[in-house]
Amino acid sequence: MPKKILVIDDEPDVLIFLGTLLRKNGYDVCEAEDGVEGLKKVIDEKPDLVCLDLLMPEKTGIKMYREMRKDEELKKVPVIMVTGFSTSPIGYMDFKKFIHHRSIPAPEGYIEKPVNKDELLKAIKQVLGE
Amino acid sequence: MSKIREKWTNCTRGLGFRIALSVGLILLASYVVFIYLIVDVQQRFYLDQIVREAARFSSAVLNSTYSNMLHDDPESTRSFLHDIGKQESVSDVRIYNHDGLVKFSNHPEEVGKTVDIKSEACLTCHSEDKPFSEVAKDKRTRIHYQGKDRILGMITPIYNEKSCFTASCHVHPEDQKVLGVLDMKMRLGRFDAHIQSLVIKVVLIGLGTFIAVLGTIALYILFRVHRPVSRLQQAMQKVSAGDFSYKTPVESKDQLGELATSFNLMRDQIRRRTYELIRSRGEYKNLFEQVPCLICVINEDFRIVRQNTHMASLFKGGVGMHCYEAFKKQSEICEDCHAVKTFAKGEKFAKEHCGLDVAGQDANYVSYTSPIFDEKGKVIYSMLIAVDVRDRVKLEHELRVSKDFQTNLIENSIHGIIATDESGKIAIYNEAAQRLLGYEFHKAIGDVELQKYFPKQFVEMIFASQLGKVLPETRLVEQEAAIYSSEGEAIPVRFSGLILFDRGKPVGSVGFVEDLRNVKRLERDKQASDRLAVVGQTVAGLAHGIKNIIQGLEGGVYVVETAIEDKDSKLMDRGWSMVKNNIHRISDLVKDLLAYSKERRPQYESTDPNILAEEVCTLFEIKANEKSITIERQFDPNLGKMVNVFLDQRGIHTCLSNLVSNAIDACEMAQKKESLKIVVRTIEDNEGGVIFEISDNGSGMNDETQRKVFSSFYSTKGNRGTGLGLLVTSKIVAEHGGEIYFESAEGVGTTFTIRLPYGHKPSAESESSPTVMPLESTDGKQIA
Repeated sequence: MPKKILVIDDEPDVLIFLGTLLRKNGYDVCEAEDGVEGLKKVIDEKPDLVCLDLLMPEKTGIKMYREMRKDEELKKVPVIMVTGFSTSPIGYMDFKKFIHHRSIPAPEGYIEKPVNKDELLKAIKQVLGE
Repeated sequence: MSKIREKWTNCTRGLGFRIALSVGLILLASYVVFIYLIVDVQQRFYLDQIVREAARFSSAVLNSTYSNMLHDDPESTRSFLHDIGKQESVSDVRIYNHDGLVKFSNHPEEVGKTVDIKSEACLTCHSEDKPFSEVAKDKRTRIHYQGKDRILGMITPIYNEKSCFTASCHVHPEDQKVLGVLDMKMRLGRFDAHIQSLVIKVVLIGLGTFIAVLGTIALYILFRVHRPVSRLQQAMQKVSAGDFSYKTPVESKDQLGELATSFNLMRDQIRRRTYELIRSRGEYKNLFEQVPCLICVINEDFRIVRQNTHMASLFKGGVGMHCYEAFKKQSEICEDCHAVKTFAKGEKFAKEHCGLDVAGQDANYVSYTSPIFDEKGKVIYSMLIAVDVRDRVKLEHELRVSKDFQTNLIENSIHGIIATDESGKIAIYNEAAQRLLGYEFHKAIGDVELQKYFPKQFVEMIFASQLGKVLPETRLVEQEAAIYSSEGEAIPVRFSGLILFDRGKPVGSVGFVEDLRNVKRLERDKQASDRLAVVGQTVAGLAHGIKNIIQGLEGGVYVVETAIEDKDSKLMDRGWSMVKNNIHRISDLVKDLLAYSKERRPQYESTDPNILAEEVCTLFEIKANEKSITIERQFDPNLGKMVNVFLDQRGIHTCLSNLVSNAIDACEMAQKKESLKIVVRTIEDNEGGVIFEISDNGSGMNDETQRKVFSSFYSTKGNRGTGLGLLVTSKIVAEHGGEIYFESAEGVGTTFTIRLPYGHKPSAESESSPTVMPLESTDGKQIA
């Protein structure tokens, strides 16, 4: 049974790209365009892993991540952050706050945009323990 | 006893008594004379009657005896006389012959006796030694006393007649004239009694009348003279003793009544004047004590004769001291003493002095000396009135200090301070103003060409205030303006001005001029460096944006490759559109970056703002219609008629395009999908300029987005926006010297407003200096 991965990103291009990439590599993929939809799908689809964009409208990736981690069930779902935060001046501040928030554990993995296909697949395999 | 005498004396002194006494005496004398005259007349009348009767009676006796005599019948004669002698009223009746021999008598013993020629009966005729022939009747009578009775004697001569000397007896010769004398004596007892009774009656009547008249007069005098006079006297005594309460009753309309009325008037006047005198004396005393001045009276030796309490409260002096001791604690007269002059010239003098008060502190006072004259016109005292001017001197000092301070403040201010007086002339012009404007101080002071010193708006305010117009605003606060220096240089300044009022009346104006040349230069430098910094920052943001695009491109390429591999034509389309989109994004990004990073001056040309707006509306009409969005045009027709609007058409077109494009995006993002509308407005700005307004009823912005609207690379449109659009727009607006701001409410819509000045003519080579906008305007709108 293929593992299910939830991809959350506000950019349709990224969704198409990541969806194509992960399906090609034998994963079951579901998609969400923002944090609200993402949170709903985490509950409904019960994915094995979440690929989360940090900067999004509606609920940002950070907010969604915090909520996931507060929930007893959802906090078990591993998350890989996909972001361009390290160089974006706006995202950088949010990320700093996020990193320094001691009460919330760090995500299981993160990779920077632009997404390197091999890096992403490697990180997924590592998190899923394959 | 003495009391009675005193009363009597008082009484005899009285006017009434004296009038009564005089009247009584005069009346009494008149009565006495009157009674005397009446009695005398009566007495004479009666006596005359008696004499006449006696004469008649004698004649009758003679006639009766005539025939007896002729017939020589002495016995009949004797008997006749005896009968007559028996009558009560007849005392004696006798007949003498020529030689004085008594021939017949009622007393028979007398017959034959001779009467002495010197007896009272004979003297009547024989006083002249020779017998008379005829005697007057009144000389024939005599009155003499016989014992107690008064007796009237009457001698009647018996004349020789023809019958006598022709008678047969021939006793009497013819040449004898008087044959004898009939001596008749009659008693006057009844007559005297009658007279006496008459006298008594007359006297009694007279006395009664006298008493009645005198009594009436006395009563009249008592009531009409004595009593009113006594009352007047009493009233006068009371008034003279200072008692004004007694009012004399006016009882009659005569002179005394008038006197009483006049007296009452006089008393009233005296009373009023006395009270006035007392009151004014009290007032003067009060004035002397209470007037807020120091008053003392000094004599020729400069010793204080009198002083008021104020004097004693300020200076340690007293009556008897020298004035210079009291005021100045000196032992000598003051050098500049003006009391000396007052004594010498009898005039007023004044001078300001500095003395020592009770506490030993300096006390400034102005003293006035005025002369007090005696009745001969000699100056006996000098009244010294001193006004305490310590407060004034203190205020003067403070004022001087404050004025010096202000002058220093004004002169040393780094900003120009220029003030006008009431008449609109320059009155204050400090060094900073001189440095800034270049006009020399002595030329600027008094200058009336205010437009040389103040911005036009403030000059108009000054003129309006001088004309007495009510100004909506009396001050200008930190207005940016340009003032031309003496050399014609337009100096950017920040100007604050204030019309000065005193009790509602304009008394001048003051302007504070801050030189903004350096600030403007710094601002321009900063803007340039800001742009560089932004470009620098942009590199980071750009890298992120480019990363996303690369991601898209890489993703697209991967998707295309996968589609080719899997021969999935649907996936192929999606992949290829990803590639195309991202190439388009690069193109947009580069364009915006170029527009933002390039420093360019607006290319002003005569523009009709309505046509410009119409172009933009037409451009977006098709796109908007596709998405069921209406574009509504609300253009101000006035703007189309104006010829002096100069704008950079390309720049403003870009701005409007950006805003309309944003509005379309906002409508797309809106929850509702019906009656979406964009309104494009042009409005003529009352303050001179053009306003463009683009409103939508789209999604609106939340607070966070509103804060980031003008930040670089902020976009809500994901991969469709570069995040530079509004940044570019605000830059162009700033280059025009305009401003851009917005109002937005989440879910309701957004309105962006661009306010632009009319701009310059293309020929004018003046430097465009975008206005630096405050971060927040007063109405709470966020401003770029």
